[in-house]
Amino acid sequence: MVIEESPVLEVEGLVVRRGRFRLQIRRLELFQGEILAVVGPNGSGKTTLLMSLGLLLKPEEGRVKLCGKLTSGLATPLELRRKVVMVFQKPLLLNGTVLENVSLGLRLRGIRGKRSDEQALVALEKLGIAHLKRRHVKGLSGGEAQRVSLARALAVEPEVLLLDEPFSSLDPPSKDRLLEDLDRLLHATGTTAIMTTHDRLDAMSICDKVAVMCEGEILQMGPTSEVVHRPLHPFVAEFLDLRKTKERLTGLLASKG
Amino acid sequence: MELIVEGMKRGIGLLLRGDREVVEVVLLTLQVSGTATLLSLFFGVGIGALVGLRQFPGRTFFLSIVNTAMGLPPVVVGLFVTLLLWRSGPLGALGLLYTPTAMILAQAIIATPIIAGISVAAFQSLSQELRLQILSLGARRRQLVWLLIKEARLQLLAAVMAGFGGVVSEVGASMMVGGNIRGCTRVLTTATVMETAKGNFELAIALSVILLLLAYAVTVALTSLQQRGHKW
Repeated sequence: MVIEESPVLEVEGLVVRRGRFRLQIRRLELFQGEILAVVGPNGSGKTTLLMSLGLLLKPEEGRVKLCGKLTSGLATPLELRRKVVMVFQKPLLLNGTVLENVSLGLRLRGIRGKRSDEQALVALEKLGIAHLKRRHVKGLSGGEAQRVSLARALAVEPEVLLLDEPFSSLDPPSKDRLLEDLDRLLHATGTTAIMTTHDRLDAMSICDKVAVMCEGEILQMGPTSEVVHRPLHPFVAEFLDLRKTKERLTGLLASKG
Repeated sequence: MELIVEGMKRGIGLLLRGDREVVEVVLLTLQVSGTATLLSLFFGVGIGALVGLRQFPGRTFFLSIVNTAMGLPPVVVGLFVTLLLWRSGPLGALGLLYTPTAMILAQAIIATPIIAGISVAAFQSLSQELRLQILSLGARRRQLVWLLIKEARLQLLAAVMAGFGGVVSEVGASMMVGGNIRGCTRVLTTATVMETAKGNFELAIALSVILLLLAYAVTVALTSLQQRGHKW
């Protein structure tokens, strides 16, 4: 992995308000090719953070710099805004075929016809769903739809990919397969990514860094092993403690013979 | 009953024979109501997108006005358009009163709130997340609106059908601003009213059957367009 000197994404003193909820991030930096997992309980502000970094929300205070340039939510110049793509929890596919959906971001950028189809097909192949290209999205399973959503985001080759709990609606086998593919793809392409999840194992399996959030703030952020083994906050220790989960699972299995 | 059956037979006969006067009336009906619906589609979907996708002060009040106007009585529209186009009125100099253009204007005013009201509901039924997803994929504002129009096309085409149905069947405004002038502003509804007033029931029934067939044909075409590519 090549790490450049200046961060791809830089956040400082960020304050975002959504109704009564307040997100406050003192500092966050992400370098080229790094994958950050943002974990925390429901309502801790993970999606709000991602939407702010995806330039879909304008901060009340502070700054978000993308590729060294200052941003201002949706008012950010289009060229810069197009460097970051967010994938939502639900696949949110448009009415049409798989290929039409995956080529959407390319067509929005003025790439049309054969060229956009070819690029979309490459993204579909990377995610192992090229055979679905002519299928209408309404006939897809949950796992297939989520792969299409990911392929659509990857097709435009973003500098930063934001994934909002991309596995939450998938069954465990589909989730494991997608997690493996995503891990391989992100590392192979050197894409900088942030993934929110409330599953600690997801976070630990593919991410270089982890940030633990609670009530709109990042309590601790650092390399995954460091945060897991040396938690600086009681909440972080409790949230990332896998022993309890293991003990509970062992107990449950023993009770069922 | 016999009268109705005879009227229906005569109506179909007039159409099949290609009676010149009837064909003219049918074509003018299509021209006036079709143009009015297209104009209303443009303004109605525009208003629908504005109210359904944006937040601005007084939005709820504006929406309640649009919803109220969905039931705008054609005679009231006819009266105001007449006053507007009357020789001494603000647009009197244009000399549009008792012309098909005046009828198009009146019908567009009737259909616009119908299409706008249904469009607002159509746009609001699309999730906020879908809008954000499209923006996140790099869409400009106008690209976003166009994609959302395509996404809401089932409801928007239903709005067009409701708008067309509303204007092709109205008589009050067309009579007031068009004047039912033979060969100039006579449409199926005004001709039916006139024939009924003259006691010419057979012809009135014939004209109303043609009107029903016309409305049905247009609706079938729009429904086919609406259902094309729709998957369950």
